[in-house]
Amino acid sequence: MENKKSLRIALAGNANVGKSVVFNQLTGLNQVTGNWPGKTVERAEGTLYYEGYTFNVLDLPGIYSLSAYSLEEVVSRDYIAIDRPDIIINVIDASNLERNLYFTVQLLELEAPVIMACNQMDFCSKKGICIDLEKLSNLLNIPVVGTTAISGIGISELISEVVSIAQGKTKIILKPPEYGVEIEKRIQNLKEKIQSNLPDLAELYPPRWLSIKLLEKDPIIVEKVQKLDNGNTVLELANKHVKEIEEIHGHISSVAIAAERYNIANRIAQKVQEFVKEPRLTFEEKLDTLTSHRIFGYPILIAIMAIMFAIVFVVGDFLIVVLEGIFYGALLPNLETFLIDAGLPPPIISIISRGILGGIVAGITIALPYIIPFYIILAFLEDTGYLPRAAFLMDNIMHKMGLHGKAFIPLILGYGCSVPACIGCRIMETDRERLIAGFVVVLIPCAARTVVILGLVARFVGFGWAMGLYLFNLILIFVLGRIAFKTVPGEPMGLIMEMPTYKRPSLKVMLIKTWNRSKDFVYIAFPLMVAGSLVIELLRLAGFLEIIGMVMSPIFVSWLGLPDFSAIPLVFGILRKELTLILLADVAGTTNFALVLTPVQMIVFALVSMIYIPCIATIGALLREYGGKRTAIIIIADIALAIILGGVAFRLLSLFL
Amino acid sequence: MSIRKFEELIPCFLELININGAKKLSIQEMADELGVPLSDIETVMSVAQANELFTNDQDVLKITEKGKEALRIHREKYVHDRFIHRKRGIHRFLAKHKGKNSLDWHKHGLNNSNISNFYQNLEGIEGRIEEIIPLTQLRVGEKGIVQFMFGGRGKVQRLADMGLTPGAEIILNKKALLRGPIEIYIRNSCLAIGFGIAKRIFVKPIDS
Ligand SMILES: Nc1nc2c(ncn2[C@@H]2O[C@H](COP(=O)(O)OP(=O)(O)OP(=O)(O)O)[C@@H](O)[C@H]2O)c(=O)[nH]1
Ligand SMILES: [Mg+2]
Repeated sequence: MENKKSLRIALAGNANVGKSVVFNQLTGLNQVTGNWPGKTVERAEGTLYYEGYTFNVLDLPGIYSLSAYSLEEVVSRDYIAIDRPDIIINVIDASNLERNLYFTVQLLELEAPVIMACNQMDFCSKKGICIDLEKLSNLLNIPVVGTTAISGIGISELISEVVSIAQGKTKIILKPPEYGVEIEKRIQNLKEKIQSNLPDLAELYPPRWLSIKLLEKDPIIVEKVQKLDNGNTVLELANKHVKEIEEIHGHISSVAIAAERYNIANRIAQKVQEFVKEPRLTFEEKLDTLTSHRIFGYPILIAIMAIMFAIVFVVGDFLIVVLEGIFYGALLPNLETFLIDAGLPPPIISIISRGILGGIVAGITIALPYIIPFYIILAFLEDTGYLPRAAFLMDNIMHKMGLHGKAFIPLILGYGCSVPACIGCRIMETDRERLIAGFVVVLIPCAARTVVILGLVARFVGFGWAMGLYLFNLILIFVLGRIAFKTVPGEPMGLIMEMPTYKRPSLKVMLIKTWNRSKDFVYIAFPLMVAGSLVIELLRLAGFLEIIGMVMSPIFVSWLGLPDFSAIPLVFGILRKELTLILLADVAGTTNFALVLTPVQMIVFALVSMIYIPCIATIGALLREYGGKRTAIIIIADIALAIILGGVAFRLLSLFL
Repeated sequence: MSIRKFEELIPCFLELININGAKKLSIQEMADELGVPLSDIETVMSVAQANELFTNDQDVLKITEKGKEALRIHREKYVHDRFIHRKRGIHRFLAKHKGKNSLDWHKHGLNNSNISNFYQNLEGIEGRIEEIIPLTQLRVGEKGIVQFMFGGRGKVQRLADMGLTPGAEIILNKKALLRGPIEIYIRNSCLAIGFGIAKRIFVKPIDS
């Protein structure tokens, strides 16, 4: 390794230990972090330049074992076991040593060059646990660095360990821990057989690891061996040993081996950790008891959601009033007089002030005031660790849709943005569950759709009506989920999830996260808004606006009961959902929608833009995750649903409002 | 003594002999262990002995081959009826009266290899089968020791990877409403497990 100047480093470890935080520290990038297992679902790459070395750092999804189950876990397993990085940084949660060492033992079996980052040392001492890092390093025979990644402590030591391996100063002599005699004897036996019969494979993978995998009956390795010439003789011996192990232990071989591995992990953990103090977690525990209470948990969940929208509405409304005062009261009129004074012809003035500036101003005054508070609250929910509790409570109900509790997490994330939520469905174990989850997740009103719902319905009709829309949306999702379940039946895998302890979120992390998410809005949505406003302004000047309105009027005017000018914003909404409202302001010529729309029309407009089609970015994510045919079905189903429900809502609501 | 009680008591009695091995047990001790009056034990003993289910060699009770077979059937049926296919209400009534009391594992997506593994597990259980309950029946705050898991290969291994290996100690933390998930404390951290999986994890409750 001495002469290599460019090295591949992978961050591997259990879910929710802080791999992505370490990654962000090393590379300066912004991977999503939060307090629930299963955030990183794809591998992410970054680079670190240090003392003439180029390190390609890889952030991997969390896994508990090298036998992976869900799609995201397979990504990690394949990379670690098959692609084999030059150095693996095994990030572990120091406060949960035994479970984390179980995975470390497997990395050692793989005979990979491992450095351990013993992370969350701050939390560990809060739990009253003291860890002897030097002893741990000696027992495992690998370098161990204590880190508190969230505040950057220990990161530079970690880098210098990596460099010292790269320079060949630290040599890792791997010595995988031994199992109990009965199993170890058979591993050695099989290992010799592999070495003599399958020398090529033994070059690629450590033979001891291959033996263990064969004894575990790992389907992928068994298949690999089967294909080889002498494979069957090896498999015969393996099967004989599997039988023997099962007879001795009375459990299937992989469970027997897992039990042995946990014994090793437990032994090491006992030696290096000491419970020195009572844990200082009484508040966190009380909070946990309350929020996942079998009865009170549910009203709390509903209250949290309602309060979230209420805060967003109140704060957003306040900001809108302030910003409108600034822009429409002072800035825009002054600019217009300035442009007129400059002697520009009226069409150009109209293009500049209504098209370009109108778009930007509408974006700032209508969308940002809702989006930013919303993202802050979402970040708060993510970082405290409430989401897994919600998943726990909702497990039962999600089963009715053929899913399990974990699917509720992407569902909540869907209130932020459909794209990561859709990709986040990879935490579901089977293809079927992933499809159902993806289908319902894109129907959840994302922050952009919240802009429409709050900015139109809550502001001009009433907050209660807006909440009604959210509630209706959830019921709709439940019904559709059930229908989808009946169409693609099957037994769900069932929930198995680690429950993280509540953590105090750091304001800085929350703000950075909010900024990263809003940045997208500024960089992508603003140009689109300006372009959209410009196009509409040009169409208006050319006299096409009325023609388009007329063509669309059978659906929009007769069936949905909307004014004819509303067709264009809704069509543009495919680009981004908040465009519907912003362009509505454009075509209507005012942001006081009460002047141009009746309450019923506002509700129907919000309802239609809530469900009619996922935006372009979401369609892209759907395509990537589920392929063309399934995406097309989802899109058609959503459009049909929106038109049907919109028309029905128009007729029903007209009776009341 | 009613016939039903009697039917149930013989296997329990055999279990007791089986786990005690060569140790001598007085009738009083057995009665205490099974929680039935002395007279019942005496009847059970005489019936079981008449059926050659065990031998009594100077107060050393030893189970016969026939007794072992009876025990095996009892264990299978016990686990099956209690944890795998609990017939309730009308179904139970119908099954009884149509004589359909055969074991139907296959309804539950369990294949032959699962089942044969499971039989192997059954023989390996230490202690009386009646002491073992599914995780879902543990009370909140109660401690238990994992005995074995039952299900497809993937599920069982996943559980083992998460730390639910035979012999591991767990505490039941929470139960959600109805047939909702449970939360357990195992190996210093908390795990949430869905009802469908938890009911096929077998534990032996222990006093803390
Ligand atoms: N107290 C404390 N919290 C930490 C530390 N490092 C990470 N965290 C928190 O732990 C949680 C998980 O961190 P992530 O980096 O997202 O975890 P991950 O390992 O990437 O998780 P997955 O992608 O889900 O596998 C976040 O809420 C972090 O804020 C630490 O050193 N101390
Ligand atoms: Mg991550």
